[in-house]
Amino acid sequence: MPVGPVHAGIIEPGHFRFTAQGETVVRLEERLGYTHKGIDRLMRGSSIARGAELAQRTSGDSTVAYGWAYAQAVEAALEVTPPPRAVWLRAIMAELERLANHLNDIGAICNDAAFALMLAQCGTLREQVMRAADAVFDHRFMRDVILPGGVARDIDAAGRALLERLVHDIARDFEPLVDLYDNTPSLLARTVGTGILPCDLAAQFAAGGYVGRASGRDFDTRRDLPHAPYDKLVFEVPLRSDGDVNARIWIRIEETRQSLNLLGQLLKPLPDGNVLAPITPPKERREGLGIVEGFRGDVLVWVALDGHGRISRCHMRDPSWFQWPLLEAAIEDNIIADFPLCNKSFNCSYSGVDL
Amino acid sequence: MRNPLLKALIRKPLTEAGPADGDLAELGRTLERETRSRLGRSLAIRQVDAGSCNACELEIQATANPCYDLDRFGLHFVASPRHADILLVTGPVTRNMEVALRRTYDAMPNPKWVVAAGDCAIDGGALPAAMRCLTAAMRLSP
Ligand code: SF4
Repeated sequence: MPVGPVHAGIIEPGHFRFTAQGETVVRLEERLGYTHKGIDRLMRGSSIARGAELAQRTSGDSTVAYGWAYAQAVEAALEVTPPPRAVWLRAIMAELERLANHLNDIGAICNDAAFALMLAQCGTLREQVMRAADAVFDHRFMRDVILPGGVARDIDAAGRALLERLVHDIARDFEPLVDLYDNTPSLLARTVGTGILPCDLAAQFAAGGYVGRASGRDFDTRRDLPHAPYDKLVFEVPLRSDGDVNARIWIRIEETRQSLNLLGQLLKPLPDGNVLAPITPPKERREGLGIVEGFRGDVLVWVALDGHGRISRCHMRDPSWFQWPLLEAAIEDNIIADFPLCNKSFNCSYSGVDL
Repeated sequence: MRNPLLKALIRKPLTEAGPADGDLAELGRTLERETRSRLGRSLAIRQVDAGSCNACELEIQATANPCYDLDRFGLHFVASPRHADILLVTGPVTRNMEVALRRTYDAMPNPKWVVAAGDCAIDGGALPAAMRCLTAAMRLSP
């Protein structure tokens, strides 16, 4: 049964081939590449600033994670350290992005189990996050705020107060929704035991993010490869081993709570100083690597610079590289009607993988 | 279940009022007049991602959230191109999406319109026509 590349909803294009026995999926093949724009090729010969632009348009929902990982890679290549205040602001943006995406996902997964109430409620919370991001950083996805060397925009006392209010409001309104999820048996009947990803597969494929952490892979770059400012913050990395849709929702719920907590910590002692360090293109070939925990998992960026301030090669590895094949495994022996549910609970990026 | 539903009953609606004056309101009135006279009903939109970075989709999805509730303006998204009046294209139209986009367009009944959303679809944006991307409007116009 072929499905796609144009799907019924407002989502990215991809082609899926199901082999089914009755209603049960015995095999799923994914064909991707529909959003292939040649980003790797566009990167070649680009200036460092143009590279940052491209990086932040690779997978829109992870704009900040890509921007930060790219900036880290360039900074590593040039041996530049961004000012502490800039790093702090980057982390605030990264947590806001995680918050917005997790809220959206929790609602959308429940919506795929025909529980539209959750999408409406989570949708309004997400909208609050996006608006706050727009008010403080001038862009709903906080695009083009992170630059190699620092950030383009500082926040003032009013911005800080606005974000503090946001954290307070979301924390207050989110918990009743968690209760709602936990106390709706008809919804749990759809999510519990559906789309189980075995722990050994998650480990073999080094799946990051909620996909890995719902299947026992205890890894988070913020904790395991700590970089500023996460080395100074206190947070927990949730872990489960049941690996079903329910587990992936719970990991998101826990991470939402952690992000709210992290934002609280980040907003308190904002370091002083400037937010952008000067960048001087090198006179010789240089290479650098950056890794940042996006909402989906670890975004890895490798960049090679030539001696004239241009990028000679750059590759951005989306966490979805390791998660797409696992979706094929997780859907096996589930009914076709549960595919949207499983797919949404993975929520892999098409654009980030097609490049 | 009880709690959010009860709350929804007693508090003000989350949905915000549409623009009352200014260009946007004027545009809304024109759109309403035109669709009423040409179609006699609301507008059905089929959205196709032709290689976007997925932020465009997230924003289009957001127009349906309770704050904006696009449906009340007589604009709604449909799953099948057979039901659509408007093809809403996002992304720079990659070569791999060309055929699918063309087929979606062909499957739509007349009269039909194509709307490009986002910088990418309008002029290639930041993901330009350099490699294999062409702008949506160019490809589809006869
Ligand atoms: S216009 Fe292009 S870069 Fe901008 S959000 Fe849409 S797809 Fe992404």
